[in-house]
Amino acid sequence: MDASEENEVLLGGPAVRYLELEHVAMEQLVVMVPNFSMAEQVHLICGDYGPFEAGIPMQVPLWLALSLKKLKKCRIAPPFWMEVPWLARKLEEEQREKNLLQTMPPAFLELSSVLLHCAPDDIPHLRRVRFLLEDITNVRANKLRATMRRNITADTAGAVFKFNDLSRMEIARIQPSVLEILNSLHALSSGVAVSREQNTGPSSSPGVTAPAPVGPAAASTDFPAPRGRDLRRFRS
Amino acid sequence: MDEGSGAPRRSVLDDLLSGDQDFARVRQAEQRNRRRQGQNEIDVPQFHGRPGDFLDATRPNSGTYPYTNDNGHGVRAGADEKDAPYSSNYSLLTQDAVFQPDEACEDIASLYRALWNEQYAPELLPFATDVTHDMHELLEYQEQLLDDELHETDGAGQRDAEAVSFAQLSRLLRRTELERLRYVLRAYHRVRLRKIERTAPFLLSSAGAHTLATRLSEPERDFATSYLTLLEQHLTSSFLQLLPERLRALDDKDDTVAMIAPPHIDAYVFCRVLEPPPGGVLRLNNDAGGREEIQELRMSTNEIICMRYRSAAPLVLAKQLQLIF
Repeated sequence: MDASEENEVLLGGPAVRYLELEHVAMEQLVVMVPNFSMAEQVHLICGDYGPFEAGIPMQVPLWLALSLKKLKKCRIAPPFWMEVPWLARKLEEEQREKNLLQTMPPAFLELSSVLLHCAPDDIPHLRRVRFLLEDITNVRANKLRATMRRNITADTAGAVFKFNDLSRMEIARIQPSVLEILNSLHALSSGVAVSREQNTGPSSSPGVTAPAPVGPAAASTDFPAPRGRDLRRFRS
Repeated sequence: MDEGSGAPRRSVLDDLLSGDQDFARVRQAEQRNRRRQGQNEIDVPQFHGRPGDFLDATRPNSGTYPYTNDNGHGVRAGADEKDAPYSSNYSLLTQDAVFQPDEACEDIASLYRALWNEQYAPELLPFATDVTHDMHELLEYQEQLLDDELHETDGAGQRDAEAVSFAQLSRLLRRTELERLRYVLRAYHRVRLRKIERTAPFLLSSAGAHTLATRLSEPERDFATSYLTLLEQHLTSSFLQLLPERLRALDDKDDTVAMIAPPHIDAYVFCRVLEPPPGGVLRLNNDAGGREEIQELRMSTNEIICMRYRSAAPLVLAKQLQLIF
């Protein structure tokens, strides 16, 4: 059984993986404003929260804010990077820089999709935010795809790649295809090199690539088509 | 920028504490502050390198991180407690402030780290005894408390409605957290069990004896043994007994494909640097093409690197690298 199949077995496929990412993202602290008062503290495993005062913003894990939200007991303050000016500026920068990804918060895809889905009434300029997020995601995906196509070639088999500036969800998306490509390239190149050595002497073996500005690149033509449940889409 | 982001946020806090408690006004104040900062209206949030999320073990405790206040504390640190009359939880109104884990939080974070490492490592990693043990205890304790409270409120009968609803809310939140963490803990055990099932023949062969002895917990070892016994019994009774003697072995090595495969440690993995090795340079043994070749890889904290597990393994075990999605 090769590595990619093994991964599939261990991890239960992409749908499960995305859900797990959301689960982790729920630990992120957000600011929420309770509309009830409660003098006592809630003693959670991750810390003590409270006392709650109506109208006073406080910082809680997202899952806590969401459970209060479900009971209509709070408003969630969207994080600064879900404000229109910030997103608009990021989009502009993202489009201007053809070869470099902008740094985004590590869990911005998960968090924004959860917030847009569960607390849409707390987000000002909801439609605009959705559009901007979707645009940013698409621009980034395109750039990433282009750089990967440029940088991962047969010559780079066995090399090390750096994927800085990618958010967690983006890595999760490209991970299966990238790992499969790199693994098979490596397998092929070791085989080829061995046979070449037997024939003509040592081959030049690929080195560590210079830290690529963006992540490099799959030879695959596209992201894998999402199987099962992908992220909740921004445009519902 | 580093210096700048702390100050205006504190003044937002001042607004807040001086009685400006209306949420909209707080937000306006925040925006005002951003504007005041310079021509770049929305320049406050800057990410330096990769900002760590809450799972980041090696987050610097002071100074450089953009979301910490001047004391070097994250949001939930207790330093501002006396200044904040209501609660320490909003001592800084930063939206994506660093999660400063206290001890219990550290347990949660290390549980997530253990889970991710296990999920993405091609071989079985040492069982995280401490982490799982602590988490089990925490969960059991919380469960016990919840049960006790439930009985208490049942027996109490007459209490004022407000107190009852508080108690309900508090129970609900704690129950939610309990279930969330229980899921993570189970996911960790599940992933290990699946891995053990997959590699049971290897673990119980002579090559895997070391892994079996050092990396599995006692119950897992029992599981591996009995799983393999069952598997062999099943295969024998279903068809192996009908085959000629020489085809019955389950550990044939002579064939082109060995029946017992060692873990695929040449597979690529994604990892994040938690703590760069001394000098920031890792010496890689790049044996592509069957030849040994030493190469140097520069790495700094929070970089995401895709490399072969063989080179990453020692660092993963030393908790300097974190395997990720």
